Amino acid sequence: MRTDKHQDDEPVEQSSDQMIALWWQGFLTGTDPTGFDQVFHHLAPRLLHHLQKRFSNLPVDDLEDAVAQAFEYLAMHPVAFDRKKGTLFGLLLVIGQRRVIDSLRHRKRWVALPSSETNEGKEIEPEIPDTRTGTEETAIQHLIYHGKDPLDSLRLDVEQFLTRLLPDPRDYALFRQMIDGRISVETFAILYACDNLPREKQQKALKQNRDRVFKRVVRERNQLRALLTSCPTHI
Amino acid sequence: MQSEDSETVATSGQASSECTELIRKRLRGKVVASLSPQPTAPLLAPLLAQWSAGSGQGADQLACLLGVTGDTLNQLALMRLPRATHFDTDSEIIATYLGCDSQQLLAFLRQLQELHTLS
Repeated sequence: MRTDKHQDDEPVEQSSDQMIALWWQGFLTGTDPTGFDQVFHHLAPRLLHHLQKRFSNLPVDDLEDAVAQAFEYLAMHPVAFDRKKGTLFGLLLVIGQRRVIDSLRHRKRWVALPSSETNEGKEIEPEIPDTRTGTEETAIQHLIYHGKDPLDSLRLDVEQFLTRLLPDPRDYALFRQMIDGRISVETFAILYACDNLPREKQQKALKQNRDRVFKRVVRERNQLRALLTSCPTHI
Repeated sequence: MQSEDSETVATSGQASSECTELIRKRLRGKVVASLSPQPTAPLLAPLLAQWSAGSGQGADQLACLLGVTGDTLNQLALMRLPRATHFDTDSEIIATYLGCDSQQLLAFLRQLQELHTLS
C-alpha cells in the first residue's frame, strides 16, 4: 500500500492526481483505511510550500497551522471535495489560504495599543482617512455575505470566484479586510511587505491598492450576483 | 571533481528529504491535535484520545505499548477504523503501512472498535 513513500520527498513534486483521487476514494468508501494519511503524506508539504511562496512574509508556524486546519476541515467535511470542480490539492489550497487570511484578520483585531508612555502629550494617529461613502462598498458586502454576519466564513464557491478574480493572495486578503471593516495600515504593510516604508507612503500605497482591488470586484459584480442567485446553498 | 559534485548533490538531496520529513511529522502532529477532540471525525484520532483518557496512558506510553514511534502513532491516528466486515484484512493493511507488528495492532484496534461501538 505504501508504495512510493520515498519517491516524493520534494514537496513540490506533482503527485499523480489519479493516485490522490484513488486514495481519497479509498478513504471515503472505507476500502483503504490508510487513504487519508496517504493524501496527507503527499499533499501536506506541497500545500505548505505553496502557502510559503504566497505569504512569504508570514511566520512558518502560522502557515503550518493553516495547513493543519485545511486537513482538519477536509477530514470533517469529506464531501466538500467534488472531482468535477477541481483537484483535491486545489480545494486544500483554497481552504489553507482562507485560514491564513482568517488568522491575519484575527491578528488585526488584537493589535496591541501603543503604551501610554509614548502616547503622552500626543494625539493618537488616526487611521487612514476613510473617504468611502459606504454605498457601493456596502452593496458589495451585502452581496457577498448575503445578509449574513461578515465574520462568518465565506461561501466556498464565492471564495473560489473571488480568488479567480483576485489571483494575487495579497489582493484577496486586502479585499476581504476591506469588506469586513476598516483595513489598518499595519496589516496592509505586513501583507504587502512594505513595513519598511515611511507611514505616509504605506498609507498612499494602501489607498492605491484598495481602489484598484475594489474596482476589479465592482466590475464583475453582475457575475457575482448571478453566482449567488443561481446556487444559494451554503457550504 | 565530478564525483565531489554528485556527492554534494546527493547530500543536499538527502538533507532536503530529511527536512521535508521533519516538516511532515510536525504537520501531522498538528492535524492529530486538532482532530483528537472531535468525536465525529471519521479517523482514529478521537478514539485514541478517548482510549488514552480512559486508560490514563499518554501518547508516549501508548507508542511504547505498540512498539512504534510518536510519528507512527500520529499516522495511526489518521487511519480509518477498519471495517467490521473486513477487520482483519484492514488491520493488516494498516500494520503493513505503518510497519508495525500486525498481531499487536489487531488486538489494539479491537479495543478501539469496542470503544467506538460503546460510544
